[in-house]
Amino acid sequence: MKLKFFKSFELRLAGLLFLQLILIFLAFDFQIFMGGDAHSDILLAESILSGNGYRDIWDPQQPQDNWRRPGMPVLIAFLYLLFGHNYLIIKFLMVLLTCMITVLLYLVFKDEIGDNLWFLLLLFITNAAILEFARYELTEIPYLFVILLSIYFWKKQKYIGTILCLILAYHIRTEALALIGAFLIYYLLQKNWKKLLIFGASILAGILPWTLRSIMVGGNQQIKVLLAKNEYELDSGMIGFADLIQRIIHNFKQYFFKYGGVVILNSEGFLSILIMLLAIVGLFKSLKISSTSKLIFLFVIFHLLVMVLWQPSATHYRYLVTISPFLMLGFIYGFYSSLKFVKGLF
Amino acid sequence: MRKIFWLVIILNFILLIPRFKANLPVLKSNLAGDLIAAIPLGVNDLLHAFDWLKAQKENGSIRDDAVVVCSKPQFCYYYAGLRSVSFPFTENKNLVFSTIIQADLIIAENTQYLSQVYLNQVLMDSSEYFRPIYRTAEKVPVLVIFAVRKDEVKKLHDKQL
Repeated sequence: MKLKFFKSFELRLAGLLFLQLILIFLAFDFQIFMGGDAHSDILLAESILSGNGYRDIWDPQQPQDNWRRPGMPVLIAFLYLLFGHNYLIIKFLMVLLTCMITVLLYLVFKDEIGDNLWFLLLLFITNAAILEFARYELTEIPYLFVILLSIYFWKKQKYIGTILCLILAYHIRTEALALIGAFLIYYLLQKNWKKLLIFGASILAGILPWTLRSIMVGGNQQIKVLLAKNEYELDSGMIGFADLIQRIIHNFKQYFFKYGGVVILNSEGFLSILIMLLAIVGLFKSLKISSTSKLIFLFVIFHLLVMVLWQPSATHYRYLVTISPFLMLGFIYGFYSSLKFVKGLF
Repeated sequence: MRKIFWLVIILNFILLIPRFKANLPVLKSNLAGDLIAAIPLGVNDLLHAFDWLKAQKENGSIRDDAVVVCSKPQFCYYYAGLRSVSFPFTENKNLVFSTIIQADLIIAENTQYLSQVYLNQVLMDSSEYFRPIYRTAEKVPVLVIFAVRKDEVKKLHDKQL
């Protein structure tokens, strides 16, 4: 009986993945992403494959690259080595990873949220921002896959896997520091000194080589951009306190009043603030449910904190895509809590 | 309560339909072999300029090691095979001028914000140092490629010495 139930559950997941593939295809294109990031990563991969190291081969001086994380170029170099130099292979990998994220969401949350699991998965596969990024040769989807994998390993108490995934995530996107911070604060709040020390020391050892390399080739560019008043106006100098407050207000407005709705429901604009508030309240309410919920809450808060501090010229819903499934989860909790609250009033 | 959530999911799905509809022509064009179907007009002009540069390089009109100033240096190397640098994002025109005259070719765009703010005015103010070699067809061109007149730059350097 139990086995039968389990099988039907898996069948539903297979059906969902099939539906997801159809939706991805309907939103798909075969063109290279024209924002510039994909070209940089591909050229860095070409640089690695040509034996030149990690260099900006488009620049006449061919300097060591000190802006982009090495994770994606190394992945592209590996794909190019196996399948030939064609960006389409990266696109197909993104589609595969998007489907695997759905599977990971299923595996991470199936014991935690009951029937709401299917709402979460349906919200995820019908989200326009996710469908959009499933076709781009960008880091968002591989990063989301790796951080979900780290949470999956953590739930399974396979801590080496978790640490390796966190280190990998940092080498794909610097914002992985938000999840690393969430893990460390979680252990700090639990007063689990042993795990705090092991996680902290292992992750530090893992991220140190690339961090040292960055310092040696001219310092951390991300920190420089973070502290610049405007990355596209060299003359405007460093950020001051008043600029910082202005930046926080500007970015908060963008992420909470405009973009939040895009990555949770397919809605941009005035509904965003309501959707984001429900998501945050829902994540807060879920703190009692499990240790995973606590970790996710910390992660989302730290991620949003980084986003409101970042350059205003770089505010975009793409920076919420990597926490999108967690915001969806919060939205589901928040939605139910609010309905219960409203019902209680009448 | 669950019914409301199913309605949310259905609504979410319905909101996707216009996006799929808009994407269908792009998908069709892509499948027919046109891989620049959905690229914005300004970027399309830039890609055509890179095609032109690549052709000039292949027929020997432009040196293989020529350096191009461009708002998207990665694109220039990816599509034209020419090494490229961006112009400095500063209103200090002297700094922009002294940077760009070190290159061989300059791509100025009229639809690209950074080019409009930092580059185009410098090119207009010092037009004697730059010679247009390619432009788009409009009356006011969307994109122009300039060659740096090295003879004039040399004269300037000699005068400064």
